[in-house]
Amino acid sequence: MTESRPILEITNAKKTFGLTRALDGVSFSVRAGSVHALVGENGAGKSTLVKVLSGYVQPDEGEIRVGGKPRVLDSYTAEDLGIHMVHQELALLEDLTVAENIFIGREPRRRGLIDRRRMEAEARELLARLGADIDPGRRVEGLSTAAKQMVEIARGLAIDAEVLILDEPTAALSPEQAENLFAVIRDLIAQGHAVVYISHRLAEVIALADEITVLKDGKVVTTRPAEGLEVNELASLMVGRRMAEMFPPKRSVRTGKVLLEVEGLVDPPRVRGVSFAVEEGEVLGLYGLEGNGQDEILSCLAGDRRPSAGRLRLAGREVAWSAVPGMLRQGFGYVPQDRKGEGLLLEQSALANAAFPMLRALSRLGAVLGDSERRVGEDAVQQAGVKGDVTRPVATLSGGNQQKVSFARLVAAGSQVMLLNQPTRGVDVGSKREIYDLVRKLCEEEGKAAVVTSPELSELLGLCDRVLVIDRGRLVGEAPEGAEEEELLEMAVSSR
Amino acid sequence: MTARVRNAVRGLGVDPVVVPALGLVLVLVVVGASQSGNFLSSYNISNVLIQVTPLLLVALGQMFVVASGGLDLAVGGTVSLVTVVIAVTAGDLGLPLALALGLCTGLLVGVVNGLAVSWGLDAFLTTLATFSVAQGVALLILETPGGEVPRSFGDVAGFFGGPGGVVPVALPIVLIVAAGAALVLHRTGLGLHILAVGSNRNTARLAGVRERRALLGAYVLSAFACVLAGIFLTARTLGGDPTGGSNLTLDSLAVVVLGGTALAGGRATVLGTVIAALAIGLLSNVMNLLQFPSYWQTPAKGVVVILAVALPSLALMWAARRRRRALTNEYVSESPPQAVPPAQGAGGNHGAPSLG
Repeated sequence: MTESRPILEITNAKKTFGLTRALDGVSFSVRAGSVHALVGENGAGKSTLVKVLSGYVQPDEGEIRVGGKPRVLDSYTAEDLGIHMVHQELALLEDLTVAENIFIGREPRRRGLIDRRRMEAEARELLARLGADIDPGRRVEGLSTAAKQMVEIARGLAIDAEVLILDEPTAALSPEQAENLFAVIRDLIAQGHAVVYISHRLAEVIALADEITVLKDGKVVTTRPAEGLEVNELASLMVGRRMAEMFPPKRSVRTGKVLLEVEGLVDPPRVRGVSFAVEEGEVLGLYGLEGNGQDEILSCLAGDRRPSAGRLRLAGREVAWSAVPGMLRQGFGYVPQDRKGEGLLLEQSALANAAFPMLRALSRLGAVLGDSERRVGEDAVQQAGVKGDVTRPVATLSGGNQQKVSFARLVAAGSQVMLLNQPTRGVDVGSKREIYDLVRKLCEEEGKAAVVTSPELSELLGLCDRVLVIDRGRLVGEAPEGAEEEELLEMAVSSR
Repeated sequence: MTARVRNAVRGLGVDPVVVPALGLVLVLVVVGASQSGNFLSSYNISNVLIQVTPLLLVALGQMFVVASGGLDLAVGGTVSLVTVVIAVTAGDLGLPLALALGLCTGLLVGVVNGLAVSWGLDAFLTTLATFSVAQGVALLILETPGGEVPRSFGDVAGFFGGPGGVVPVALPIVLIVAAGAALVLHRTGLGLHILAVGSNRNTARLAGVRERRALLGAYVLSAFACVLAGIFLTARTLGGDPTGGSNLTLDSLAVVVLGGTALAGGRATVLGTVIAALAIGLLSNVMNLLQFPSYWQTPAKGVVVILAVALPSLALMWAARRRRRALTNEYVSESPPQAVPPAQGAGGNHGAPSLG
């Protein structure tokens, strides 16, 4: 590797959102022909940093240099200067064709008109360079995640991007697809592109990157060459404390009392017959690569999706499936993945949010009794440990406290089974521990049980008493005691 | 629509979204031909073509707005206003200047709509408001149908070879306009960007599409189509009619939807729009020939549109449910290997599924 000047660098970047310091004096640079990886926990500032680098977010302070020249970036100029971001939530126009998506904004013209033949031919060529077998004339709608990623990367090549920013590209890929992506990245590097690479998978990062920058709480912990780094070392740099301290102790005794039994649950096409049981006081994890049915299982139990076959028993009693309000009454409480979109009424107070599902029980002749709403809400909010003004709109609370409001709702509803989809998504590190403690406390002291899914292996292994592995809609095994992340990942794909 | 039908249709090189409109045309032709001896006469056919011309023109413009994710309720008022402006000024200014004035008036409405929507105003409210302004101004200028244009101008709405002719003068013009619309839609940056904005405004902006320009373009195209329709109507009636275009707002939306352009935006089809315009024109024609009272025609159009929108999604829903049932049976009969036994205490063997 030749030592070249950075093509993209940022010095002393600062950015605050409300009360959160997302970036607190970060400096970062990437050189042509190299991969610079960014690692850190959720909320460490990685996403903000790459959004600043690709012009989607303006920093409060800090200087950006592209090719050595100071620049102010917005999303147009960033692309013009050859910086292309491949979003985690892929940003493609579903109704348009692959070729149109690759070239939109700079379509090849002939006599003023779009030259479709050339556009498709060039798109085919770019995709071939990436080893992607995708028909450039088809609509993007219906393409797999991996294929969409290739389309986005092809778009980066089409605009001659010197810097490609990949945000968690392998999160939704199978190992073979990921291998293919790495080959593509190595190729791009050989051609002189620079790549900024974000991932949670540390072994993958060490293998792929030339340099690694570790972010924590909006600051750079260290930037060092990837060579010679060990996964454990990197992990402790990221976390800044030992893994054991991140999570509360697991349950001390098995109660042996089965609380929830799920048998032969089917919800085509993703869930293909799943059976498991959870004991009182137990936290059960469900792990699978994205799209293998774990989310749908939770949705079915929560009443948000209707299973087409299967039985449920709660404390030995048969439960008839019904929609969300009915399942909630029967003891199934749900904390959905998308807190802002599905979980909470952001304009309502924490109290109202906590008491909301119980309005029916609390109301008489259609009128909600203000006092009882307040009382139920207050109790629950207190139990869940929500900090901040609980009478103001939930939107004013921090992510961690918002999430605790979601738990307060389960407390208020007296849910026996807590269905938790990514319970600490978008939550800062400190609040994570509080939420884990809360889950434990509710299970231990009140005999509840929790079923948790999360793409974060460390979270499942750290929090759950047992972790079941699901692949293509079927359970394929249970993680052995003391399993490592790699083992779990291996199990999730081994049956292929 | 089942996959088999869809594949068959694709095999013919026809976009499946035009199927409902095409089907309606076929049904109407069969009904018309079998129930009325006059239906296939050259007189009736050319009559339908003449009648459908303004609707098709306006619908082609409306299609761009719908493709951008909006809708243009102003078209009816705009067409009326254009006919009035031309008819009132043609006597004093001469026809060319009157036409130019009509063009400017129509485009002005489009520019106002386009700017308002591109700056973030709601398309429904904006165009509803400009509809009433255009309609009101038309009535202020001319309270009842009137005004005058040179008789020779009427030839535009006539037939090649004079009154006895069969081929409408407007036919080649309309075909050229339709071809032009297809060209703009598929081969210009404007058309592609309109579709992009309609597909997802945010994503389009991030991809570097100048969304405001695209939205402005869509409404101006729609207004331009209104001008063409206004000119045609003026020629046909040899005067202006302050309410002559009012049906065109709903009818053009009906045509666009029936033709298979996605109301949510992002997808549009010129062929479908042309066929759907023909279908709506034939619907009126056949009902006339069968001597339905004219009041039946409006509700009939409404029913057709609702069916056109509902049937494809009902078919999709039905297909999805069937597939779901088949998969469930398959999964249940496979009796999946129980890799993970339930924790101790999980009850005995309960075979049959009971949920769902």
